[in-house]
Amino acid sequence: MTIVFIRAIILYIIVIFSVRLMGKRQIGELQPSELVITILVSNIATLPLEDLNIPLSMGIIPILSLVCFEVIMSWITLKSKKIRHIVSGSPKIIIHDGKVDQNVMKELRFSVDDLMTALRGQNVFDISEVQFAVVETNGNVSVYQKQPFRNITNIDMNIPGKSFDPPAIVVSDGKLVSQGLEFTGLKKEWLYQLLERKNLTVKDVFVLTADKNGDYTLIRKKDTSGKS
Amino acid sequence: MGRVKLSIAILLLILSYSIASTFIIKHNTEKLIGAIEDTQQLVDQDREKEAIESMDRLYDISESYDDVASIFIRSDKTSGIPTSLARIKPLIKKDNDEVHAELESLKALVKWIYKSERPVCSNIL
Repeated sequence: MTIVFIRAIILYIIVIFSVRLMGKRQIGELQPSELVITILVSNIATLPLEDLNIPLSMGIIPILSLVCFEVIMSWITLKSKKIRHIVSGSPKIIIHDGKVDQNVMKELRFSVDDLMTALRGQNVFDISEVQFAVVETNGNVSVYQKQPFRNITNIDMNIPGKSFDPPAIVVSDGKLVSQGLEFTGLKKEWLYQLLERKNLTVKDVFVLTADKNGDYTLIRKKDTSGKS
Repeated sequence: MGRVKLSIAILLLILSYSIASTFIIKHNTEKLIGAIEDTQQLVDQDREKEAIESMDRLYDISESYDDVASIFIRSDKTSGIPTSLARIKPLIKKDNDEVHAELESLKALVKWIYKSERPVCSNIL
């Protein structure tokens, strides 16, 4: 049993390392090859845990090899358009000017139900509203609606406005988040003055967010007696 | 680019490990087969006492072989070696003719283990 436990710890570290090496992507954003590698890795990791006759190296080596190949392959596909086209395929226009391209649907083995589900996922319930719909290489459908159906933006309304960075977390669960403070450009003195005005210390704050203008949102920690 | 460099480094490390493991298995297999052949010779020459001493050496060598092999080879492949070794010593003491067959089958088993681990087409495919 101890062997299984130790092996589990080692494999956990290896799998976490492998996932970090592959980079940050959510399941829905994975390319087909990446998805296959992810499934393979999880499958291989179980082998040395299930069967103690198998040396641990027979689990570690294929996991690391597959992930390293995937990283190198993704770098190659980044550099070469041809290889990217071979490995990941290319996006396909499935709707143009409200008309569905049935040949593309057949080629992609995309049913009408699949298409409608994807469109509904983008808040589009009528195909005629669609100017462009593209099936991406990861299977997602991107939709560009016709002008009358698009959301109105500030530019449409001729409303001028500046872009601001969103507020950053400055204090989280009673701890100062230095990176957040740096992001806002505010100084520690500003934070301590603010807390002094409120008769609080950093430890009393559950969350404090602030933006570059010094506008903030402060939520106090609840104490054990239930007072906030 | 950092990830790519790290991946290449890991792959090179794995490649070196694989090549090294092949040579380590080969070296240990040759050592074990050599010890088996020494015992075979002594048994053939009816030098019972020396053959038993040689068997003790063979046990030691097989133990170190097992330690190394367990890192690279499935342990169920090598599990036949200690079983076979346990039968040989009593057969030598009894001067039983089966000892030749037992030593021969042990040698064949060790050779098969090495062959099955070689990176050749028949094993890869």
